Amino acid sequence: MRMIDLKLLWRDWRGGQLNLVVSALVLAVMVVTAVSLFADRVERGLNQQISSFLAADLALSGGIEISDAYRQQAITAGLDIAETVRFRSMVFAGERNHLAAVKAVDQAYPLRGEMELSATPMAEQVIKLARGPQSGEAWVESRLLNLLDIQLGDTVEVGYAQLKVTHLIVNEPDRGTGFSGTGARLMMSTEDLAASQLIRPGGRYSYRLLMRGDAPAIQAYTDWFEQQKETADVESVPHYRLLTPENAEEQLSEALQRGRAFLLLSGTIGVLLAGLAMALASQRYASRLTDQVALMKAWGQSSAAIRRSQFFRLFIIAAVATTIGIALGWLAHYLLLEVVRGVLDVVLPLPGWRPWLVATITGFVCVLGFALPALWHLPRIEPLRVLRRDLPDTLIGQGRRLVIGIAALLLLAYWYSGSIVVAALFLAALFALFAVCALIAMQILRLVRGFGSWRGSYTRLGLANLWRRRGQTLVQLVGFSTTLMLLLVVTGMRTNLIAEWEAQLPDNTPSHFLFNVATPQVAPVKELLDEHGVSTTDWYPMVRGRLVAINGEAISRERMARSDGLSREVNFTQADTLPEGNAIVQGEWWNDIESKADGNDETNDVPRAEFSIEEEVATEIGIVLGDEVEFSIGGLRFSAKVTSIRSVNWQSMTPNFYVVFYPGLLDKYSPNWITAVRGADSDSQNRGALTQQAPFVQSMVNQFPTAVVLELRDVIERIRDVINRVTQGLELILFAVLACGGLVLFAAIGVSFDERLRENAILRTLGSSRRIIVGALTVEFATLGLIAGLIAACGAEIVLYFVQTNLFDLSPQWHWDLWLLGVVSGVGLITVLGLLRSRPIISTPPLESLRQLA
Amino acid sequence: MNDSILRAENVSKRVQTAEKQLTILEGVSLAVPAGQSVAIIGPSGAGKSTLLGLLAGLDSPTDGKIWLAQHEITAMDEERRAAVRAELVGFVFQTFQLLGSLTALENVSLPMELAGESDAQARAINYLEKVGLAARLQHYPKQLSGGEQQRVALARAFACEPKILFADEPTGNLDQATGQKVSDLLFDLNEQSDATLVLVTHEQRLAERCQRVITIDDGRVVADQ
Repeated sequence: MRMIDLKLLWRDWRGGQLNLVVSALVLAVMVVTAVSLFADRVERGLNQQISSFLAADLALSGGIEISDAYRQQAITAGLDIAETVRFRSMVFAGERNHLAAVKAVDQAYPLRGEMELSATPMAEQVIKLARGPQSGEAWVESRLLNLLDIQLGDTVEVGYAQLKVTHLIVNEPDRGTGFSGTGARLMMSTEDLAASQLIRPGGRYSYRLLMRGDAPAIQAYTDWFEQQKETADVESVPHYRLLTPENAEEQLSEALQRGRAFLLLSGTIGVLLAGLAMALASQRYASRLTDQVALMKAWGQSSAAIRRSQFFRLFIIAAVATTIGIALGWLAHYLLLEVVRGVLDVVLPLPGWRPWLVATITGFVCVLGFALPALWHLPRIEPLRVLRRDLPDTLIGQGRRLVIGIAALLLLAYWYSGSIVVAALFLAALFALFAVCALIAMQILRLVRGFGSWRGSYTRLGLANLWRRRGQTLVQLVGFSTTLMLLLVVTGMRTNLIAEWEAQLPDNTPSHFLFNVATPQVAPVKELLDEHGVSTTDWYPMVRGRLVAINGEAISRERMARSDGLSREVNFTQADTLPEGNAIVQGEWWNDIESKADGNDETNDVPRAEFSIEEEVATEIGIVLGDEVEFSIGGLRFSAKVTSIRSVNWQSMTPNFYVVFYPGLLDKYSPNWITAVRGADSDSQNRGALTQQAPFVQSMVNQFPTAVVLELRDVIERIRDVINRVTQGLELILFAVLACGGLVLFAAIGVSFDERLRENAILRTLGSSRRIIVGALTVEFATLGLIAGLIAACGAEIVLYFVQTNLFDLSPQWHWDLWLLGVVSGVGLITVLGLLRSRPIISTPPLESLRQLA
Repeated sequence: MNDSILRAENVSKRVQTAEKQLTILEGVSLAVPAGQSVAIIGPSGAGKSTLLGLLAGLDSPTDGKIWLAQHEITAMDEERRAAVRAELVGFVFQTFQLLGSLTALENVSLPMELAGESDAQARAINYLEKVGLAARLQHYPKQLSGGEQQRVALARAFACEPKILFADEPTGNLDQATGQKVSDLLFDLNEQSDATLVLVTHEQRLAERCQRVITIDDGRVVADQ
């Protein structure tokens, strides 16, 4: 390591020979740093939450109340216990209401960790308490204050209970999964549950028995639970899961790893483009260094010394660019965090070592994979070159450099995704996309070339340049159009998709859903709705339960896992008529009955043990007509036969069910009722901050405080918000990737820079005006941008077509705005960047150009 | 002969082209005593520059032996030849071979810096003053005229204080008046430094200023005066 190497490096930098190499490297490292820091911190935040996720050492969780046997066993094993129940409920304050995420806890809660609370609205001082709220108290998340327009000390109604808001929740030991898709949180005491009348049969609740104790006691309980599962004679076992911090963490970390891999692979596109720019820029750098190396060898420098110097210089480049990239990435990751802040409800700890290592290795692998191969031949340059400049260079062939570059990318993609198959598939898909883009671009170039022959002189000149340097043209096109396409897809999803989906919802799409209505409340609620002139879909009773056996054979976990729909507890219903939007595909609907599913049990017939199942889950789980299926509802088991298989229109936004029973079969399970309300929402109402609720809602929530009213608009807004934030995050990454595309353009122009300089000097010498030179360059870059924009818009349209038709079941629509955006941004960006890079070509006087190149 | 700083014995250079073997030099022998100035002249394509490259150890002959200050460079590999060049040799080229991204001062000091010499900058300034470019130290090659560039190249070559200086058509890219000034400077500096000068040129007037003129034609030495 010598001072002279540093001096040489500084002189190269000063001479502008390293700008592009360093910029590309900085950008690549920045993208990867930002993405991996973001992913790491979110992951750590969520994991940290999970570690204290249970507020206990062990938790038994279930959709039905914890049976006494499980509680007693814990006490017998010497474990301390506490109990919680979570559910969603309307919370009221005066005229305002909000569908909150409620958690009721007993006096022993929490067993591990502490509640972090604040008694002031801005949470200036955090109080730590190792207990839950007292009876009559409610602790709430600060946003509930705004939502209900209340202050600390005010009273809220939860069901029929009145609770005083005494503290704000800053953090709680078992906060949840971290995704705040649900309402604002409210914590109350289990002692107030009875008064609230919120716990009703058939409602959706999550019960937990928290346990604390020493390792042997925990193990004893775990063993006992496993035994219960095996003997299977305890009815409720299928409804309970045993949670340890480890298994909870395992489940989440798998999802998180996938998320991180996805983000990093998006970053890989940036790395690829930056790599391409680096490779091109390094090639130009190498050609500039050729004379220097030949001279140094003539002066007696050995190949080994030159190789050492080269490695040292590249090391310094990698180290400096990586450091700058990491610093910028650190700043950029805050932007990403800011964008998704509303979606993620998690305290973010400082990042671990991995993102720094990922970024550093990315920097060095890029240098080794993209820059070094272009410079590798330099120490082998013959000193005789000082006398004979016509001696051939011993450059590493383009094919070999491509292989090295791809290997470097594969290595990084493998490291990012943790799977060689994913990495290889991703790169293969990316290169296939490039190839398709290149093929289309080539055809367009051919067309454009013919077009130029009958246009003015600078058009002809510009178009001829595109064709003549078609290799470089294609490289620029592929880099730009792919990135632009991804940006257009993401923008299209953000701006159009939800709106299109909303626009295509039928006119009679429900505006509200009413649920948690108890059987005795059904008639008065109907009356109330009639008074307000509000129409509804049919009313459906709901009970929660699960499938346990088919034809006498217990359903294995593997079989269960095949179906998303039935692998957990789901809502069952019963109906006398086929629900709206459903169609029988096999078997027959029960046609021989009078209406009896209205909650009034007027007939004495014993309901037939029959049910109808939705066709997709039937296929997934392997159920056919005539199968005898055993169900468990609230720990009680019964069997029923499949008599029909239905298709369900999930887009109808009306209550839909996988399993519909013969009317009357669910009566004894105390169902609660659901319906969807139509036409209660007029367009003239103001939305947003000044939300005006439909008049019936206020009456509903006043008279039936335990019922839940959910407004479809709120749900759509929530989905829109999540999509907006996620796509904005992706857009940020893609803008950085687009910058890499810009560098590819710069680098590719750099490759032909000398040639362009010479040609334009000759043209100028021969009398061409500056206008012609600028005109030709403008035509060249604008055409390049036009082609890139068209390919990008076309690709984005195809992707959006599949998203519309396959994911959203929408009828496809053209996105003229994206075509316009693609073409305008393509032409604008490439023309401006191209002319910017070509400025010396335009402005250098011809004589000076020729002298520089002599 | 033993006091020769440069000696070639029966040196030949042949290259294989796609069609046939080309003989560029054939049986060239010569000896140059230390301090002598020698011009190698001949028509274009005679093999002058090839001979210069071989004598300077930049290339290896197909046959024959070459000694540079008692080192038989033809028996060495490139790395060892490089070490000999570093110790003994300086160059001046027809195309100047200045590095465009370096100032005049940096161009001159570079070979000394590479050799690890601590007073590189001071010596570079000194030599640039000698060639009359004291006011141009921080200028880049593209800001200098052809004559000035070649003067920088002369300063660079002599600042290293080589034992033997090889010059390939040093005035070939310059007009007559500028060429005259550059050649004056070359011989002045050579006289001050006591270096041996081997000069390839096709200009008779430049050759005549050397103590000895070797004429080659068609790869052979045809005259040695």
